[in-house]
Amino acid sequence: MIHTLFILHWEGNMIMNGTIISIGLESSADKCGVGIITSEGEILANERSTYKPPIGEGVIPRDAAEHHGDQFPKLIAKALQKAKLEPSEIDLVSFTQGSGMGPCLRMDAIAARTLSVILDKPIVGVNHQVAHVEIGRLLGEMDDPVVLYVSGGNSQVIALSENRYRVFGETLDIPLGNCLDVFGREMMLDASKAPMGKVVEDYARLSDEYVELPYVVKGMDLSFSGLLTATTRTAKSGKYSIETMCNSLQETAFAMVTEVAERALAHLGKDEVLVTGGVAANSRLKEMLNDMASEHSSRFFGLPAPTAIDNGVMIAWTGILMHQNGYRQRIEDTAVRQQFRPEEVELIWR
Amino acid sequence: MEFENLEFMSRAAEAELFKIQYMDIPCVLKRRKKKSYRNPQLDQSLNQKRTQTESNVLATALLNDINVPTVRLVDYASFSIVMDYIDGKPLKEHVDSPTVKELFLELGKQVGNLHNLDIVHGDLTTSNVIIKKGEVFLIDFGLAKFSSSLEDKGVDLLVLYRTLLSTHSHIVDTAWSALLDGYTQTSKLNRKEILKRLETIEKRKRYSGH
Repeated sequence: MIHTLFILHWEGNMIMNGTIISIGLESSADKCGVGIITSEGEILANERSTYKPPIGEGVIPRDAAEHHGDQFPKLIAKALQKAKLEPSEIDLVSFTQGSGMGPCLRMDAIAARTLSVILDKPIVGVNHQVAHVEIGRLLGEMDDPVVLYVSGGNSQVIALSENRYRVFGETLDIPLGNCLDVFGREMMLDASKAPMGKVVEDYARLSDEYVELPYVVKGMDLSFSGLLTATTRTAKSGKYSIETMCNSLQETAFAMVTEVAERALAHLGKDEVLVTGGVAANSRLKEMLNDMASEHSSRFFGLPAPTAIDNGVMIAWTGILMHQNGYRQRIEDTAVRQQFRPEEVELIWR
Repeated sequence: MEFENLEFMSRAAEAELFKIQYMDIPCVLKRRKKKSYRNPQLDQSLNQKRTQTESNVLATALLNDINVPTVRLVDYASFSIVMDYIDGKPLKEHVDSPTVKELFLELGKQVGNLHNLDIVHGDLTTSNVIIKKGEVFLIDFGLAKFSSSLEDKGVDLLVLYRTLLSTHSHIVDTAWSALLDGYTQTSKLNRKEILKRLETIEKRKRYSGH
């Protein structure tokens, strides 16, 4: 053990003097991604494969994990090829340690341990939410943003406070992306060519009509399950077009998350707003957040889809930040943590 | 409705507050803001409903002898409420005073009475409690609503508990037990019942896990 630690330490010092290259493995949910980035922030590769369940069905973690196990070797090879790198040129192996679905997380952890051992390079386990914030800060050139993280698995407002990324508000039941997905599935919308969120957005754009739906903000927290039930029921009654229902659902749900982000912005006195996660791809959501931010003389940045959706690059980048500031991990400590909260991470790089 | 001599007090996420004289009484004008990001129909409906609920809650509380600002005027068209200005300091500036225990006991009684009316405040923090000449006043009912559910009442208390924990950790034990003492003196709920609910709410939190 002493021997191993010595080698890691020595390597760490060597690396610190120059640019290092990190590979990041992410598979906390239905997507599995491999990203390569340098310590200068240059993205060399960002490969991804999404597990697609049959139409009308949701993601079963075990099946998704099987898909990821299958894909990782291919994606790693593809990423290295894109980056024009030999495996030996990788200096650091980063992976998502949590939070996420257990079986899926275990796949990126297994792939990362294997890489780390084969390449004899240090390994770093990264918190998923922290990684979303960090890649946003890098690409949006932001210092201290209020972050709205909205995806199929999460809906949170995160901001720096007392040296930690703290969750100021979050959904009390289902996430925003899930609400849009399930509505689309219930209405049997076809998501075989585009993600369901995009399908809903395209329908919404065709209507200006607004039907009032339950708007549930409890202090800083949100609830989407009642909204989902009400929207589905109203839509199935056939009184309004699917376009109107999609528009009304978006207007209501996005106003809710924007309001909570606004509260956090006002309460914490910050002046930057960042949106990330799969739902960040929605242009109506970005428009609302941008309007809100300008009302508060704040800057807004919406991450583009490749780095907003779960990806390996954000993990690789956060791994670099941790490693360069002295964080070291032994293989024995790389067990995945399904309920890993961002507050638990000591931000040694800030 | 237009008012003269508005003296700007503060701006929150949702509303702007001004100090005004209304019929020679020092008052606060709270005006909800239109949000350009929201669908106009949704915006209108939310602001109107919230103004309505807030003024109803305040009036109900006042009629039942709870220390809240007296509502003088409500204007739905401009989402405005004019209410008495409570001249005092927030509870957060009293947490180191020798009477802190009595203040929290009194606050507990007020909240107990409020909950008996099936009103939940929605944002009970030490900034939203004003101490005026030793008396405890509750202000900012912007997130308040009528609710008879034990869950909502529990969340109300939990918000206060979290504020104590995060900003006044040195007095959390004293303050919290005094508050519960006061609360159970006036509330129809018993201490055991409310504590049990607080525990289940905490447990249910997403990813609280360990």
